[in-house]
Amino acid sequence: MAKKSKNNEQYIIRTGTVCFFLFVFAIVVIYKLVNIQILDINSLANAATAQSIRKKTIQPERGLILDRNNNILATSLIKWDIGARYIDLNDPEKVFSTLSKVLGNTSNYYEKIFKNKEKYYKIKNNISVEKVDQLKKHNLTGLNYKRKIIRHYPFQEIAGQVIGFTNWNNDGKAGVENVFNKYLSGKEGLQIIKKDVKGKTVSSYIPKNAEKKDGGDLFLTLDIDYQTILENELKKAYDKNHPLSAMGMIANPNTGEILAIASYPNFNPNNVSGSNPSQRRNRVISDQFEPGSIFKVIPISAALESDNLTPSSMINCENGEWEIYDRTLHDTHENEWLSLKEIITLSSNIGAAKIAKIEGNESVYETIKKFGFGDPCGIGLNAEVAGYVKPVSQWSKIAYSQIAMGHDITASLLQMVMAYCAVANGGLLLRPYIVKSAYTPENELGYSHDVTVIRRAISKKTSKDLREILENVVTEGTGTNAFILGYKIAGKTGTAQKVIEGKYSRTKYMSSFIGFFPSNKPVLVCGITLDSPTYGRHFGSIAAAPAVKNVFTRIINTTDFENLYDWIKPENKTELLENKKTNVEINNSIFTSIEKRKNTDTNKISTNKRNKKSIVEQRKSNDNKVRVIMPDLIGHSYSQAKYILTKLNLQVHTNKITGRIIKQKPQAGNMIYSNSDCYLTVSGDN
Amino acid sequence: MKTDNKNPLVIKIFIITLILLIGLGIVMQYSASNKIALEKTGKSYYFLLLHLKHLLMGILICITFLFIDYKQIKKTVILLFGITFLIIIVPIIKKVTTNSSSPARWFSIGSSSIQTSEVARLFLIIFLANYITKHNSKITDFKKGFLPAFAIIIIFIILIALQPDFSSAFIIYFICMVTLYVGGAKFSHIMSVSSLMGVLGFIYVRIEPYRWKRVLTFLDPSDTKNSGYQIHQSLISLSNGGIFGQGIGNSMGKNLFLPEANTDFIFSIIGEELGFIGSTLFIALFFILFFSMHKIAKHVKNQFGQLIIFSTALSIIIYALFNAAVCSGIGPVTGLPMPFVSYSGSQILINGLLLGIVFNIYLQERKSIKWEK
Repeated sequence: MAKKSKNNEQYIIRTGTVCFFLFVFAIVVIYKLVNIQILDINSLANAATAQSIRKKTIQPERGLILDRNNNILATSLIKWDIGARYIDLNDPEKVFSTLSKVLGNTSNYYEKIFKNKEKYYKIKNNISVEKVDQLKKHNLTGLNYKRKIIRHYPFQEIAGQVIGFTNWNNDGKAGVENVFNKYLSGKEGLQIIKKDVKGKTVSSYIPKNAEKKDGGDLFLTLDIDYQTILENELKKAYDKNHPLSAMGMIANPNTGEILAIASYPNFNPNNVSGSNPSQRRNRVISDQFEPGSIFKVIPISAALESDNLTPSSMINCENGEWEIYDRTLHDTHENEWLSLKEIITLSSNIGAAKIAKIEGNESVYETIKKFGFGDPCGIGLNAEVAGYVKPVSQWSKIAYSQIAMGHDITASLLQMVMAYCAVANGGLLLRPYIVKSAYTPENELGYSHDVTVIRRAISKKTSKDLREILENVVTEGTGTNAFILGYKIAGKTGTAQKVIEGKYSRTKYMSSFIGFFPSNKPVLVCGITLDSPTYGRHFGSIAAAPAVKNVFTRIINTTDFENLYDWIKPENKTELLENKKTNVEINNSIFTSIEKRKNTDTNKISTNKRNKKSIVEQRKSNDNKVRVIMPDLIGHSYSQAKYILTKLNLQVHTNKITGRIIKQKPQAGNMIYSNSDCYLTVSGDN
Repeated sequence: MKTDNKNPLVIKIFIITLILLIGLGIVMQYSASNKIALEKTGKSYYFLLLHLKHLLMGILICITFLFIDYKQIKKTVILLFGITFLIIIVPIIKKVTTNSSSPARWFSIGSSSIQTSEVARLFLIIFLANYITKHNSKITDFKKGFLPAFAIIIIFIILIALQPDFSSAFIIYFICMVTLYVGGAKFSHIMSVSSLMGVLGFIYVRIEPYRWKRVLTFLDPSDTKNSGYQIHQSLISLSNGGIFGQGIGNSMGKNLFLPEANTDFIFSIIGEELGFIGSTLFIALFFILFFSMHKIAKHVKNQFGQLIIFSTALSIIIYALFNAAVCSGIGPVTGLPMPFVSYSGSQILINGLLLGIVFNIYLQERKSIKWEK
């Protein structure tokens, strides 16, 4: 018994010793764990993240750029790049045959891509979402799909210089793409991906507040149809007159909205690398030149404004040759006495110089500055030039004569057109703008621009006088090539010698025409300048005026032409219709091509945003409507007016059914959709 | 003195801890193995199902031995010796005759197989308990008491080392020596033979390049790409766990970064998903299990039963601590499983069997046990 208890005693002591050592062992393990897990002595905690966690940025979709009728000018297409390592393919045969089925090429072609079985190869780039969906249905293991977003411009080269383009990283690099990049670009998203040792994705998630935000949309004042017409006419003028370049713009003189703006040769923003910088430049805002006779309205308006002269004031034009100091001014026509109106109509240099002389340097200079010359217009695009106006204190003794005919001064076409807008709209210099509104990625209004009056340049009366004078230019002066029967077109030609190596060239001219219509209440101003057209065709009246005429004619023709012209006097109609038919055909062909592009491209746009969807729908519903220009019905009998409006497919509302029209709504020249309501006020007496 | 026929608190703690460990083992086994299973078989639950099958078999064998009188086992020691010897020698002979290069660690009948070192562990625990009980007075005698027992032990240790499975040989030798020490053998005897064994063991390790490399890697684990890769990944996983862990299922290491994540390195996954708190509590669970068994053993009057309970408890906690030590870089990389958690059918089976015997001992002896307060 004693032995037993002694045994037991020994057992307890010895097991106790074992327990103690086990305890020590455990303490050592836990001490090590403290070092590893809490103190991280080998700083390995980050190694786990480094080897298994990949952060992936998710590109947002860039916002849309839309024209005033919600046509999509710039969109983002989702494309996929696929690639693989041969060793990752579970069933290479199946993969290759599926690839060839879906993407074309033989399966042998795909097999040959993998020269090294361990290396990663790109299989094909820029695959459409549909094709990728098809591929994904086959459950091919080992293929790596990489999503990317490509900027796409459905209208190709049209409006390319205004819209601009983006780089590989979807950052706007030119045009409104660049200026409004912060609204368009959106916010990159972040995805955390957990990978296994072979690089395969185990799981992935998007952290809070790291979701991608698609860019906001940008709404332009541009009208893509007008833009198309303008660019087409610039090209035609270019092909006909062989200038170095052609530029032009269309603006709404009542608001300052730019409806079209372009220079030619142009470029396709879908293929930026295939163009050179001179094609990408928006010359209308970035080129300054001596404007020539189109500038004559400025000194004239100074004279009219100060009441020194009236449109009928007579000036001695020296039979076409006038010496001042060492220079001799020439006119193309030899007249002795011309009225102020005739001086503009015939574009007399001597007359303009004399008017400027009568008015005085100070007054002329002041008017020039009032029209905004020498200052940028503030259109809000990059590279806008200010032009150069010599301060009046530095004017030489003959400066007034040079400036009066648009020399010794530089301006951009944009500045010239805005000056004509002021002439057209009753005297207000407006700030031109091309972006109506921009939305933030959160879909809130981030920027908007409305009509901005910079200052009154001239009085309403002067404006009215000038409009009449400029209408005369087109009906019987240098601008007859811009005449359109049935519409009151006003405008001014300009043929300015270019300064080449410090001297006025005798063969290179800047050939311009700026016109607006209808002249009594203008709705559109269009200016076109050709840089150095072929000598002989270098006159503004020959090279530029017909182009402006064509632009106006075709804009009028966006309506159903034959019906629209029913209200024109019968004797003019036959000729008009003759003239129009050809235009309609051209129009039809160009618009069918626009339609085609719209249909093929816009359908691909992902319309994940509510507002985008509605935009597209709205656009589609607009497409079904024919646009017409409201005719001038004042003075017509009610039955005549009703006939015209019914032909145009407009709804007629009136107070009376006999008598003459004294008031109409909408006003003549307004662009309206067919089937809209028209309200006519008919006078009491028949 | 108060006698209490009802089950005392200690047995409840013992069983609850055991259930906790098995339950945690199921969860961690699935968490650690799903990715490997998916990669190897296409089914993420492949290893989980096998693990559950092993546990079921372990429980069945445990219940079976619960009903077998442990004293009867004494009589079968010679038979057991023969069976164990056969089981362990057959694969080795097979290996030698076929000149195979793969280790001869498994004895298979039909499609099922068992790790022979586990069978040797079972036999040696029973054998030592029986030998010490029988030759109680002679155990302090080197020639008559200690040496014969050591001879039997050394036969199996050498056979296991020849498989080759050095880590199992080492840990089983260690368990045997501690059992002899607890059973009354002289410390000086144990130390003298063990130093000899140490020299032999060193030679054994030194002559085989891969074993030596493991030791060198342990001493200088800077080559994290090749030889030090496993331990480096194990430490990364543990570090990644931090104090509170990444949460169950969120281990990085199990995504094939850490090899053997569901067997030899499962402790690293536990540490990564449950953090320092989890890994420490996990070790604590094994200590609770050990001390509850130790307390039961202390009160068992029958020395044979007492020794079996103690060496069973010892072998469980030693495996657990060695596994944790290897995972945390304290020892060189070995292939020792974490009891109840690692994917190792043989160990679950043998531990189940041993625990069955332990329960039987407890059930038979509890009437005579006087539980002290």
